[in-house]
Amino acid sequence: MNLKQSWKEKWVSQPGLMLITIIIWSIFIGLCIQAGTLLFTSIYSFFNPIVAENLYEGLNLHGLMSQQIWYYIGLVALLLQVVGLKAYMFYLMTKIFYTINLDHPFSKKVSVLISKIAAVCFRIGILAIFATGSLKWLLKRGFDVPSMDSYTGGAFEYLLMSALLYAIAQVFKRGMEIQSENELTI
Amino acid sequence: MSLNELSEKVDITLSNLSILKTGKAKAIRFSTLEAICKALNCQPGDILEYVEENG
Repeated sequence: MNLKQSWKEKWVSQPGLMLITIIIWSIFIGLCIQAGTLLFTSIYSFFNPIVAENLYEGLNLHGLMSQQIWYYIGLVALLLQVVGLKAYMFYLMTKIFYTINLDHPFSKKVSVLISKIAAVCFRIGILAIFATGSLKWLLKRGFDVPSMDSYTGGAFEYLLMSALLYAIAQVFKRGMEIQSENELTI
Repeated sequence: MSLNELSEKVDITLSNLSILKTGKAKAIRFSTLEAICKALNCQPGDILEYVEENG
């Protein structure tokens, strides 16, 4: 009942934020579906290799699987990590947008969440760079791997976002100190 | 005078008055100080004291 009431109150007082929260929730659900499907099909491909021809939305790693199984496992593990971290990043974003309160915006919870998202973005960026490098390495050695820009693209953008979020987290910390001083000014 | 009466006269909440009383306040506005002194019929020096912090 409390959750329902607080949702209603937030819709009335901060409709813009709640709309963004819903959009982010939708993206999070989409990414969960992607990660879950990829996980299921990659595990199932060990029992039925033909499944590797279409792991998720046309991703065909059957050639790599038949050439070198360990490279296939490594590449799929990398992709799963990237997709999983993206889903986790959007989950943290939903938590931020739900937690944020424009009456007292600078809270420790939000500051910690922003720092966590910065760390996750950094990991996604590094993993994406590593995945891109691995793909290039596999292609050079003549392995059959398709282009996977949708999974490995945007690495530097994630690193840039990580740096920006880290700076915002520092500003938030200072904002918290100033807000607390203001609240204790009688 | 009770804290309740003082909070009504000065127009600040009981919780804020409690913060002032327990020394947790970080700062006080001149308008608040003026209102307290008016309510208690005293000077700021009667209710403020400087104490040097150790360390």
